[in-house]
Amino acid sequence: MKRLLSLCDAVALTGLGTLFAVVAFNVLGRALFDATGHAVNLMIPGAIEISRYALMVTVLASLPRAAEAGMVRVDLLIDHLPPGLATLLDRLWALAIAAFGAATAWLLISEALLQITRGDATQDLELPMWLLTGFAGLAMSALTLVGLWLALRGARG
Amino acid sequence: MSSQETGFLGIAVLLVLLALGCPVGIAMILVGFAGFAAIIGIAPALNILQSGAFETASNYSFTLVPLFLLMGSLVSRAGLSRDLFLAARRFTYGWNGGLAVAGVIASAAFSTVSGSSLATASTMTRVAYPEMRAQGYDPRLAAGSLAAGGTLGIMIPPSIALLLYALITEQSVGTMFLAGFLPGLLAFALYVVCVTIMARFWRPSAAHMDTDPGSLGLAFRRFLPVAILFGMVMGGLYGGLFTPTEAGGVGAALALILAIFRGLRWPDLVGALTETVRVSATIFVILIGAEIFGFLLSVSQISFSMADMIREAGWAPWQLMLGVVVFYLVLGCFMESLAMILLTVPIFYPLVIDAGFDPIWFGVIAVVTVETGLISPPVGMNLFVVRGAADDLELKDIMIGVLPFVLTDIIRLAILMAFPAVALTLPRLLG
Repeated sequence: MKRLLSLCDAVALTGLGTLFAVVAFNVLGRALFDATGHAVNLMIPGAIEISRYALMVTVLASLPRAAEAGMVRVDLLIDHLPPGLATLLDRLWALAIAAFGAATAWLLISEALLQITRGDATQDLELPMWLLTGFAGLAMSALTLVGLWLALRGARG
Repeated sequence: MSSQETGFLGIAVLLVLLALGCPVGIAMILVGFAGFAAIIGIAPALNILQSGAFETASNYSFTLVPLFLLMGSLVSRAGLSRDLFLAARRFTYGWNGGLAVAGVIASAAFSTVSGSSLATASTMTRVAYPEMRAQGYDPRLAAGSLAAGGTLGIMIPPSIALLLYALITEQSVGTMFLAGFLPGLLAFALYVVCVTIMARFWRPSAAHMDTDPGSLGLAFRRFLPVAILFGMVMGGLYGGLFTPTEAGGVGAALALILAIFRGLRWPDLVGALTETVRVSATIFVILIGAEIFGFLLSVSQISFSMADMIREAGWAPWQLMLGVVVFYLVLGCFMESLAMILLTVPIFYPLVIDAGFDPIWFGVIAVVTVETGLISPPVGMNLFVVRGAADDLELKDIMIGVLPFVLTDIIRLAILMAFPAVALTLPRLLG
C-alpha cells in the first residue's frame, strides 16, 4: 500500500508541476508576444486544456494520500466516544470512502471504454478522452484500495 | 416524501454524519447522492457522482486554488517571516507591548503573500514567540496576539477563503479580494489597539531590555521582497495583466525565485509541492462534496422552502442575517474554516440573496465570522497551531489570551454589518 501511495504522490506532484509550469510559462509567453508586437509567439497551444487536466491529475491522484493522512472532519464528539465505538465509526467512514471510490471508478472506467468506441477527443488538443477518463478511473480505484485498507486497519480516514 | 422533505432530511442526516466524525466531503457526497437518487432516480444520481468528481477536478476556474496554495507554501519556506518580524519590530521599538504589536504587523504583512491563516499563525509563532518570552512577555499576551494575528491571512488578499467563496458563488475573484482588503486592514488596526490595551494589564516584565532593532532603512529593505511580491501579483491582477489563475501562477513563480535566492533547498521545494498537493486534495474532496450536495439542494428546492418559511415567520432581513452570523459563530468553534465555507454557503447564499443582501458583502461577513471561529475556544484551529509551534505554552493560556481578540472580532463584525460600505467601497471604485 505504501508503494501505491508513493506512486500516487509522484503522479500528483507531476500534475502540480505541470500545472504551475504551463500557467507561469504561458504568462511569460504572452508578455513576450505583446512586447514583440505579436512577432514572437512562445505561448503553449491548448494551455487552458493542459492546465485543466493537470489539475485533474493532481487532485484525483492526491485523493488516496488525503484519505490516508486524514480528511477534514469534526472531531468534537468522536473524541469523547468509547474507543471501540470510535474505531467502528472510523472503519465505517473508511468504507464510505472506499464505496465512493469504487462507484466512481466503475463509472469512469465504463465511460472510458465507451469513449474508446466513440473516439472522443478533447476540444483543443484533440487528446483521446479515454486516456483522461481512464486515468481518473484508475485514481479512484487507488482511492478504493486505500479506503478498504483503512477499514481493515481500523485507521482514521 | 416530498422533495422538500427529502432535502430537509438530507441536511439533518448530514449534521448527524458530521457529528459522528464522517469526513466533511464524504458526508456531503453520501447525502447528496442518496438524496438526489431518492428524488430523481439512481441512474441520474450515478451520473452526478461521476461528473461531480471528474468535472470538479478538471474545472479550469479551480486551477488557481493549488497555485495560490503553492505561493503561500513557498513563501513560508523562504524565511521571510523573520525579516518581517525584525522590520516590524523597528517600527514599534519602545512601545509598551511593542513586540506583540510587531507580531501582528508581521502577520498582516505575511498574510499579503501567504493567503493561509494556519501558515501565518504557525510561521509567525515560531519566529516571534521565543523572542517575546525572552523579553518577559506574558504568555497569554504573546500567544493571543500571534493566534489572532494569524487570522489576518484569511481576510487580507490573496485569501483562500475569499477565493473559494468567489468560486462557489460565481463571483469575481478579483472583486472578492478587493472587498476583503479594508475589512482586513480594519482587523489589523483593531488588533493593534487590542494588543496595546492588553499590554497595560499583562505588562511585559522586561520590555526595557528590547535590543536595538536597527535602522529604518534596513526595516524598509526587509519589507521590500513581500511588498514587491504582493505588488506584482495584485497589481497584475487589477491592472488587467493577468487572469486570477495567472496571478496565482505568477505569484508562485515569483515566490519560487525569491525562495531560491534565499537559499531554498531541493527538499524544501519538494516539501512545498507535497504540502500544496495534500492541502489541495483535502479542499477538493469538499469541493466535490459541495458540487454533489448542491444538486440535492437544487432538486429539493429547499432554499425556496426555507425562504418561504422565513417570509411566513415574518423575519426581517436583519434577523435572518443575525441568525446566520450566530450560527456561523457557534459552528466556527467546532469546524475547520474552509470546510465551513464550502458546506454552509450553498445553503445560506440563496436565502441571503433572496433577502436582498449584497453577495460580495455576505462573502466578507461569512469569512470574517469564520475567521473569528479560528480563534474561538474550545477548538479554534489557530489555538492548536500556536500551541504546536511553541512547546512551553499551555492551551489554557492561549484560550485566555485570545478572548480579547474574539471580542475585537465581534466588534469588527458589528461595524461591517452596520456599515457595508467598508467592504463594498473598493469593489465599487475599482471592481
